[in-house]
Amino acid sequence: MSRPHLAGLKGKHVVITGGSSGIGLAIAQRCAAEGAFLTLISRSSSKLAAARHHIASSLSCNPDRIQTKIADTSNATTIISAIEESFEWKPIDVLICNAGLAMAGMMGDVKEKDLDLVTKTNFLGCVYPIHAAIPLMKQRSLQNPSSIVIMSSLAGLVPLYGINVYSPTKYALKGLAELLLLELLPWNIRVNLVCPSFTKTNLLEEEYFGGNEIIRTIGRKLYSYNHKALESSDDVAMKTIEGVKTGEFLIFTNAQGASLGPLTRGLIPSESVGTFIIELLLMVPYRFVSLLWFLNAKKLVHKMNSKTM
Amino acid sequence: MECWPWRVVVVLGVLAGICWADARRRRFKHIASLRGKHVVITGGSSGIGLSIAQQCAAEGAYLTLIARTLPKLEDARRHIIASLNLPTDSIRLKSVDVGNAEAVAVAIRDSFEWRPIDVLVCSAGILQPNFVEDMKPSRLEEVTRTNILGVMFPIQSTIPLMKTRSAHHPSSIVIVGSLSACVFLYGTNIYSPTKCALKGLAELLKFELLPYKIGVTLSCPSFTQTPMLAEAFDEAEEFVAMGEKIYLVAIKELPDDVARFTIEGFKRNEFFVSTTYQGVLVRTLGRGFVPPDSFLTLLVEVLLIVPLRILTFMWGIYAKHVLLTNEVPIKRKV
Repeated sequence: MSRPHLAGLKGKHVVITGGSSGIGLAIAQRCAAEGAFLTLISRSSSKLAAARHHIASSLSCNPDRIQTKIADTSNATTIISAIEESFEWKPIDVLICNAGLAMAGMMGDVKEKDLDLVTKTNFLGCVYPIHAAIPLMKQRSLQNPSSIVIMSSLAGLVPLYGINVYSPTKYALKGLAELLLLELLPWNIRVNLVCPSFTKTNLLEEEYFGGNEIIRTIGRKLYSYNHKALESSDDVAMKTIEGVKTGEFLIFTNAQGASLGPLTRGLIPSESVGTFIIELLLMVPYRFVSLLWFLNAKKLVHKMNSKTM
Repeated sequence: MECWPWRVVVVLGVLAGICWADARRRRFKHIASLRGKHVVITGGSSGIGLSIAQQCAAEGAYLTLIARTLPKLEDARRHIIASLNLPTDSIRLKSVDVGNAEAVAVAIRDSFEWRPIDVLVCSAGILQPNFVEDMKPSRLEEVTRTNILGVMFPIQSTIPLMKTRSAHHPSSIVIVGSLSACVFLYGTNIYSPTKCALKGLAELLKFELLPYKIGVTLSCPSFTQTPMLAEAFDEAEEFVAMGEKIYLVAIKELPDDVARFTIEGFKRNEFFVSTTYQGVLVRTLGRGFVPPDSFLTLLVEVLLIVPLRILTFMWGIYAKHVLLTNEVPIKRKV
């Protein structure tokens, strides 16, 4: 990468959806530590108040640097107003779309209203804030480098067994990010797609592994899920912010993620020549590895299934 | 030095063995014939869905066509019956909005009671060209509902029913996606993201349905001459002009050809069906982590991956140059 997109976050305004917990909160904390102004958006006013208090006290910073907005990202009217109001407070430099949901269960067993909810929250809940922010960002982005960050997941690159529509919605976010990356190129608005692995958050503990032994076993054996070695939200936050500054499109937060790069990056090549060459050399051997993985996956799924039958 | 001819012979022998095994595998059909089978097609009243319907009916399948407008459905049925001289009761119609979960559940249950469903083809989809920021939120919701939920709801209702008989009656779920699931499509806002979601859904379903002998096929056509595309092109000449510059080669194909490849594909339980040579190349790079079922395809792709990646690197530079040096199409609020 030749020149960083954003030198630092001091004095910049960062808006984070789903900013009151998990990865969103960790990102907020790090941004505040660098001197950014924050707007945290989430559905729960109590969680938002607690988040604001936590950040302000742990960093001894002025709580007025942190705004909170109550909005459901899947409700177009409220989230669009929230974004527009945030811009009026201070022009938005970085928009981080991080709000997301997951519900355990196989396709075919899940209720339709849950499919609807997860799709709306994970996909439209990312589209709506971006829809609102783009025209506002375009007014100033040529002189003020801006960024849109989409928090996806490795489940947006490989199918994640056991949580139905979560994976497909994350695939959609990759498509959205690639489209925006190119359409916003002339406006100096960078797009980043962050793909963390299993991260220690409530979403993982309660919703993904909520009570199901089969999903946990498959997670362990197939996706190398190790509850003792989960990524921390703070690590993910750090890698995200680094990526925003360099302007790198596809951000992996650990080695497991980076190893998926060669096969899943797709048609848009890496900006870094070094990454490009490494991935080029690894593509062929990794394709054979993916074949072995899939053969193993088939065996495991058949075995788990015959156990329950 | 002396043993290298033997090494070559051994390698060629192994490759020949693989080709032979693959040829045998390809002759094995997941669904040998559609005669007497029941095929349900969403979006079956026009475009690719209608072509698939026509070709399935020509093989002797029973059809249920699902779409929003009844007159179009009736036209479609009349057309198929007349052209193939079939009895009227071999084709049923359901006028349903695929984005309405309850209506879809009722329609699928009812279809299954008429005849058990062997193949579900999800072909319903809409395309509204414009930039993300210029689409009305209600339109964004409509596209998401039709293209993502409108595929998930029929699948959701069909899976439990298919599972009751698939062990002895090989069944298939077919998703008509698009090549834009692998490569962004300029000016179509959330269309390609919704198709990416369908690719993810197809990969997940393939995994989940492994124990049940329910095949999953994702068909990814290129630009196909359908009413949906014609309407989109009409509304969006500026985007098309920019698109032509970016994509260089954009093969327009016929819905009948897409249908033919799709049907051949799901009969063989091929996961990722491409319908043009351009599609095969895009698929090689865009396939993702899940490997092809055919080892032969894997070998061919492995040989192509590196040169293709280098080509796309150059194309990426070119595309960025086009985007930075051309006038952006004028935005309209739709």
